[in-house]
Amino acid sequence: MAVAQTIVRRVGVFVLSLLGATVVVFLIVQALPGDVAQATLGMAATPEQVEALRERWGLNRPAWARYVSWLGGLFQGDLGQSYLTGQSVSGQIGPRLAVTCQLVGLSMPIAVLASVPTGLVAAMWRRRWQGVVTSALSQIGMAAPIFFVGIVLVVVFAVRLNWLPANGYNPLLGPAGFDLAGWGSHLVLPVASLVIVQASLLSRYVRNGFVEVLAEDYLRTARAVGWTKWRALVRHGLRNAALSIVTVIALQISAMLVGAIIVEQVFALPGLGSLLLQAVASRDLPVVRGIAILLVVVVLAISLVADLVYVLIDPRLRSREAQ
Amino acid sequence: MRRLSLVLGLALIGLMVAAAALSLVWTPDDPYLVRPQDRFMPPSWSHWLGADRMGIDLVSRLMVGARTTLMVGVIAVCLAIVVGVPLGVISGIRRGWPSQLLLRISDVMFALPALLLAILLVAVRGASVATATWAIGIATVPVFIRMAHAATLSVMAQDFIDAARSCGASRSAIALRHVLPNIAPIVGVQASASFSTAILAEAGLSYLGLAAPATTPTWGRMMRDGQADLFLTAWPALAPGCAIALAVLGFNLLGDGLRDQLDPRLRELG
Repeated sequence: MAVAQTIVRRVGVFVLSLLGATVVVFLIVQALPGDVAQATLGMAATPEQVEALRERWGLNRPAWARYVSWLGGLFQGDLGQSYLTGQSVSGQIGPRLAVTCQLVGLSMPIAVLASVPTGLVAAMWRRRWQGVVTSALSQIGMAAPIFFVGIVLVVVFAVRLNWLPANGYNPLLGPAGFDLAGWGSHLVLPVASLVIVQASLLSRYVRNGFVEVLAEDYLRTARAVGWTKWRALVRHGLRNAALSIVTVIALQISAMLVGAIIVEQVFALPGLGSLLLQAVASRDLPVVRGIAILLVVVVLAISLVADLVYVLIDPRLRSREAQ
Repeated sequence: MRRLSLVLGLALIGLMVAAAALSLVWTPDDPYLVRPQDRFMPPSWSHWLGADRMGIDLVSRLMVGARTTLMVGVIAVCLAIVVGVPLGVISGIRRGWPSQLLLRISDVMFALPALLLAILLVAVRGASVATATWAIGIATVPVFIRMAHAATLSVMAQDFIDAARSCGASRSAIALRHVLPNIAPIVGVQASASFSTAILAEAGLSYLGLAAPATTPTWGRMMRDGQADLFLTAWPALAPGCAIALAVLGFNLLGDGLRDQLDPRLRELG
């Protein structure tokens, strides 16, 4: 009962936040000074041409009316038309989204899997060289900007060793048919860049999750009944570490998406980020707005899921809600 | 051992500030002077870190670039503190519906990453260091609202607040005399952490070509230019990358060190 109430309230907050986000994004993009239609057509355009374009893009209507129709379109998955190509924005986003999803979808699980053993090592031997080295490496990984990590990987694996391509994208099902090697070789370095940065951060929180448990009475009890330190830490610490991971993923998902945007630029991948940057360069506002709102929806949805998972993992939260 | 992160952090930041300050009066070479004969020169006595594709000395450009990095960080973080902390404190003291609304709005803003906000603003206003600074500052405001709000709530639960109230202290007196001094150290820790986020955001924007124009030396922009020549030489891309990483590391370590000084119980974590 209490869990159901929590879930309903949390979903309500999600819907309100979503509406708020649409207002924020719309207002920012709306704040464009000057006349978009005039700027697009150039100074040589006749007033009639400008007027026709304003009419076609719906710029003559008041801002609130444009917001309402944009919002109405959003609910039907219609993000409007590109100023530049006249194509539907969702049609343009689709294939780009697939690339970004592969990038993030491959990196996130690998980063989580990598962070648990490294965090465990850093916690277990936190006063010995193994722990200190692991912690120091994660500090470096957290400080390095993701494009620096990407460029270092390119220098080592593409320029020096010549094992992998420096950039580009190869679809799994390309014109040449099913091409696993080509697809994989182009994704190894971008995924590795995201994994290195994210795993460094995650492992630090995982480590702290384990260290917290080390000080708990129940760990001493477990040791007293004859469990080894390893067994006690893994058995009792994993759930605590899982809480840390869920919290950090929720906080980091926006950083992860931003990281993906930058990584796409480093490796010239045709993903959402490169579409966004092209649209910014050409001031194609419907595309910019569409991608922005998509990213915000993803961030909000992930934090919703994380909150719900949190309630499921941590029984204390459930009882607290019940009180 | 624990003091190490504080000392190391301060040393790295000191190095960066010194390099930026020194660049105002002296650089090893002219940071704008094109020397075609020095193009892609590896590190040597005349160019300590080598020269870029224009034959410009990398050390000199890095020193000038430190100024932009520091300036963006200082302005963005100050903006976030000046706007965010008072709002957070007020919403922690007066818990009416305006405070709730404010917190909800800051939650929504929180879902908008700094870089995305910056990209939106750049799409509207055009690329410049000023737009980037504003965007990073605005995106950091909700971080300080949340932090100051939570810290104020825990201070307000203390007994000495009840004591002050029963002595007839007004809300603003409580805020200024009791809440602000007590949350100031936490604000300091957060400022240090936000500074490294701001550096990373500015570097990212410059790397994407969305902040400074090509003529202004910034670390991110230097990496963007250097990446084009990776198969010829790696120095012009790697040197500014190391500078960014060291600067961020410095502020991260400073934040960790400050937090340890603040709360000895946290020393085990870290």
